[in-house]
Amino acid sequence: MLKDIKKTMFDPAKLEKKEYGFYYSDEKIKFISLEGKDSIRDIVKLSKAASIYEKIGVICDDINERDLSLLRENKISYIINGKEIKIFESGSDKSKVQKLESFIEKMEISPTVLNSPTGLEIIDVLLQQNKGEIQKINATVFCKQFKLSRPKLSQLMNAFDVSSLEVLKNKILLIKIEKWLEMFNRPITKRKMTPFKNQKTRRYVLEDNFSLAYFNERIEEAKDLAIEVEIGGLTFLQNEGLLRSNELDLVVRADQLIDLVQRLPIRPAKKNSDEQILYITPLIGDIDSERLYSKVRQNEDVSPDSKRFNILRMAWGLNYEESRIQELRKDLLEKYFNAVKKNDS
Amino acid sequence: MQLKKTTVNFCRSQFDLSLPNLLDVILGEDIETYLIGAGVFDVYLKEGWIEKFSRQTGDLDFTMNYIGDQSAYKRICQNLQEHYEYVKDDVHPYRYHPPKMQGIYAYVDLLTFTTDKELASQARGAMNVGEGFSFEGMDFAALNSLKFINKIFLPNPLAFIYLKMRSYFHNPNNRKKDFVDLLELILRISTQKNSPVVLSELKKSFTQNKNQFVKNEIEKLCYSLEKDSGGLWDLEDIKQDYAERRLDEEFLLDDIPQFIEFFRMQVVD
Repeated sequence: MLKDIKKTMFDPAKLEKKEYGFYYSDEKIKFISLEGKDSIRDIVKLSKAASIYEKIGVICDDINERDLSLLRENKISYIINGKEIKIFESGSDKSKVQKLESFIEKMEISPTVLNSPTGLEIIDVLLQQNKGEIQKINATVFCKQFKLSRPKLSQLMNAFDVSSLEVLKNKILLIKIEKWLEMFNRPITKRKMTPFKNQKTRRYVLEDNFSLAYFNERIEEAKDLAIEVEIGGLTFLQNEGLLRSNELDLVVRADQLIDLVQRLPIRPAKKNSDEQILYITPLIGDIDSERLYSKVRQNEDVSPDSKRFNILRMAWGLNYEESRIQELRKDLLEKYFNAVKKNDS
Repeated sequence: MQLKKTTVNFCRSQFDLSLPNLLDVILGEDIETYLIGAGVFDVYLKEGWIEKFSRQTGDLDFTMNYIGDQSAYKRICQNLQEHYEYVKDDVHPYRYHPPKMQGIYAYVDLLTFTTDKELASQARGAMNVGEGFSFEGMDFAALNSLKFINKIFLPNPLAFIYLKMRSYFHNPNNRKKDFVDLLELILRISTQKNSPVVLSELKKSFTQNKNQFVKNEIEKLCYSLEKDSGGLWDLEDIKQDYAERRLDEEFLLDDIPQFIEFFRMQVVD
């Protein structure tokens, strides 16, 4: 369905993600994302004020009939994702209308195309490239430069039906946070990646007064002894100052769990323990295969852990049920994508 | 691994209160004696190796090393009756009741054991019990004992776990409490604040080659429980007893494999 639309009139690939929403280059329309709190009347006012210089449109998931009439009366173009697109042409009263399948949700891309160790690794690197960089480089060179999986990139490009990295990036940026979260929770994505909490996660008590800094030191010491261990999402959030909690977590290669248990001052946690808890999740493969780290350095103003880790991968692994953690997982993604948008603009 | 003086003094005062003169009479004979049975948990409790224990015991069990002469054992039993008004039980020929009930222990079982197979029937004969009475595990317990007072000892937790294993092995239908006991001991020792220290001390018990067989047996027990592979050590068989002792309020049955794994990693591996 998407391909048919593309051939006739609307190409979602031409929608460029911006801070305010999307820019549709074919008609030079700024489509402003309509959040729940915005009113259509405000958009109409804005459209009238800006019309001399630029065209304003609205992009949203749903809209009531009254607001839709208001948009039509004022000749404001709109995209209702998954339902309809209406574009008012410049300098005429004509408009193009067509039914529109959701350009992301209905693409039927398998969640594992994006949410696999190599998939998230590629997406992270791709999103960190600015427009100029990405236009200069082709897919093969890109993979060579960052040591990424070429077959996986091809899979991604085929799935999104794109032939350039720039368009792939734009399309990936169209994916909403909610959609990412929904994909993260799909069990199929756990086939090749280990979340920070699963059925094999062990729950231990850390000895009293075990500070976060000391914990991080001990993990680094363990790494020096060739133990394949890394902090988990909860510890990451705490290192980032986003969470205060008496729970820490880490992942370790399964056959080295014993080395870690014998080195750390821990004991198994009882059912209702209110002491400092450490979750340890054994990895089936080695730690490299989990692709926890980012292959590019991010902005200088972010903390070391943000630089080290692929935030998408960390967010994917943060599958703790607690609502507070789920909110932080969403925040983490929002911050990540906002930083990407900020870089682009 | 040694018991603290405060532990010994406290436990002795409790033993003396309930069973007056018992220890003095035993100490009066030159015979190697072991405290076994659930009274051992009281010592572990006082020592701080376990926080609590779900099963209260009402008796003490002492077993004496039989090396071919039952006179010392007989003298102890006789002495208690003749000089300290202990009364021999009508049903159990090795059980003695103190003149009056006080404290937490109601009576004492005075037993014998031997590590020499050829002396086994004589040792059983000394206390008038049949062939079903097993001494298995006592050789390991004797090698891994904690000194209480002079020649009175008690098994260290690892040896005690093994004694419980052998007891359950021989009579799984009637000795479920031994399975639950050993499981609870592992769970409690592993979750106690000082567990890494205690478990590392216990690991030393396995350094002697003589203990390889026991090490293998305990390792097998651990793997069986971790994998929940059924057979002799099937948690399903003790589910009811486990719940009755309200252990599920502290240790979820589903979490048992990770407790056992921790114990194994600290003690066996």
